[in-house]
Amino acid sequence: MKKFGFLVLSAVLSMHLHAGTTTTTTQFEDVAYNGIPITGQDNEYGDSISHKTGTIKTVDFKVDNFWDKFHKGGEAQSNYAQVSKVGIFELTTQATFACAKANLNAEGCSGQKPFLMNEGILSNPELTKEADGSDIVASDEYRIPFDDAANYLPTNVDAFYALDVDRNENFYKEPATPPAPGKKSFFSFIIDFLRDYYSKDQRVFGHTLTPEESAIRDRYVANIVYGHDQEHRLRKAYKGKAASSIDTTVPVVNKPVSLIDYEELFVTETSGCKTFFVNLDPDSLRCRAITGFGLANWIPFIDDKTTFDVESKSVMADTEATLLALSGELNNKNYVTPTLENAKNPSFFAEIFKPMTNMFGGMFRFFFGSKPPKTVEAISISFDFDKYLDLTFAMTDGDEVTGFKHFYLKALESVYGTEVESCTVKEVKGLFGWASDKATFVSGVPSNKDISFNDGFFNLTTIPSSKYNVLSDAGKIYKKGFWPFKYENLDMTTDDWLNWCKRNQGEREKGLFGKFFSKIGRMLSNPSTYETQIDNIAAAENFVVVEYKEKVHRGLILRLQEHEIKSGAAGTTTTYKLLNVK
Amino acid sequence: MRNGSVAIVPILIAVLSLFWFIWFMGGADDNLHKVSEIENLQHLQERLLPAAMKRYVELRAAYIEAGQTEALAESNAKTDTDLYIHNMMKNNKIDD
Repeated sequence: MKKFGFLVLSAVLSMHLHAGTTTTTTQFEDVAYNGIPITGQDNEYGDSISHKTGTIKTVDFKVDNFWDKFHKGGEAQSNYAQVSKVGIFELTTQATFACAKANLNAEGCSGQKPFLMNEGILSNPELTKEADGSDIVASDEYRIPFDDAANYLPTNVDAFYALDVDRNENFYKEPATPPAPGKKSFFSFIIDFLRDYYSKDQRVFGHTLTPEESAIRDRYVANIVYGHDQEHRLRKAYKGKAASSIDTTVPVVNKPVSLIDYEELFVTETSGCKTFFVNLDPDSLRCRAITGFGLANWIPFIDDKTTFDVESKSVMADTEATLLALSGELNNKNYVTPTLENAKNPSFFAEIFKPMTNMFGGMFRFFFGSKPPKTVEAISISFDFDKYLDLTFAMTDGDEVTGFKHFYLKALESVYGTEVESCTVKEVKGLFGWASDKATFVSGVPSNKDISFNDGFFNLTTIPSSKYNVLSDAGKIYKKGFWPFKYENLDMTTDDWLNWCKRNQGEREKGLFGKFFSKIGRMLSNPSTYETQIDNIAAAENFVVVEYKEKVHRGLILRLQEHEIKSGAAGTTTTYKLLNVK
Repeated sequence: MRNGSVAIVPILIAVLSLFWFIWFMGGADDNLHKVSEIENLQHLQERLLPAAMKRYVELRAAYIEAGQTEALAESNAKTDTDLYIHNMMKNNKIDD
């Protein structure tokens, strides 16, 4: 019996003493890794869809056998060269990076942004040009301006438009009861955003919109920050289901999907630094650059005492402020370094004075209307981002959503253009100007007003009386004879006068000594350009600017790069759906 | 105890037939065992698939964002995902 017991025991023990000659390893294989491309496409909501196949493969899987000792053909261990499972996944990716930070649940966010473009916009060659008119080097990059909803036409292929999409109130309204400590409501989140980005000494102020407009605006900002909520996503026609229709008549109130239009109180500003959310120190460079209202200091030939109106749609200003704030907080950790950060660097000024000559080509209808006026100056500030925000634009044929395009927001350009309206000049006669003569020149109106000129300096020069506003010989440089100081006949057009006003408006009237010294200076210098000549003559004749009116327009241009949303990338949310297992 | 008692014979026959039965059926039981082990493994693999895919996609994107080329990012992400699965398998006493 003892022997039998030993036999059984040793049989049991020996089962555990087998050691495999190969090691078991498990690997993951992705089909794309083996060279088969991933299919990328959009679903009806514009989310990026891709299918991926993954395999988990266990090599040399060993199973120890118990009964082999008692079996004629038994083996101690079975080795399986490969045991694997193949899974086919559908990856749905949207750009919804702000969602988690706001403590919003997934229903409150989506990858869609409330921006609309007409089909065919991306084939407009004007949009692939830099500010100076040269072609953008990088492919798939566009500079697309913002346009007012009132200008919308289905045929416009040179701008994008803001869209009002209904939104579940839970996802953007302040709750009736204050949020629990540690939890943030939507607006505290937004305000923190801006406080971090702009400045610490700001304060949030109210606005004068009607409650209806106010709701539209809150919704619009929320839609930019989080994207449309899941219930109210736009859809294109897909597998027999109809596409979302878009109402493009303006103004529209309380329509599910329409173009957006609202005006805020700061449409006309002369100074100060107010935006929707923030009120900044007007002297800060950041204020000047971001809001532009203090930008008078940077606009050439306008001094900071000049009063001017900024014509600005608050829809546009809100778009700009929100996109700036969002890009500033991208990745939840990587703050952008906009060009503005280098404020002490001269390159900032180079950036500021980047001319927008491309504007005069007739595009940018939004900016100066359909006919660009002759006398305009435009500058832009560019905010270049390090990390790019994903923006999904809805495409339309004018009636309904036809598709979606994904872009990186690479830079944001604030554009300011001045348009001369009119100028009133005064010819100061007599010692204290008691016999002054005024004339007003209005842009685009040829003036027939005669201005008679007196004799020049010490009455030694003889200036023939002439019609300074006859449209002839413009651009010709007239020489001044050495002795006597004599000007030849010169005709100045309205534009000549407006240009002169623009150059000289800051000077105002000079004191007696000032006039004297500037006369001496002019007497000794020979005018070299047409403009200098005009300056000299007008000054010699004691002309001063009485009133100079300019209109300042604001514009917003987004620099966008078309791209495919990459699953797993920062700022995106991906859902994984296991379609099949083999 | 008397020698040559035949009473032991049926006991011996019973014991021997038990051994024969074990010898006869033992292999079949091993087969059942093997099937169940592989089933278990495949269930485990199936459960790991979504996690592995998610990890792979995220790692790949992170590597690309860190400046690696697509091919390098893919191979690095695969290596890391393999290590992750390997550790899971070790916990489950599958991998050595």
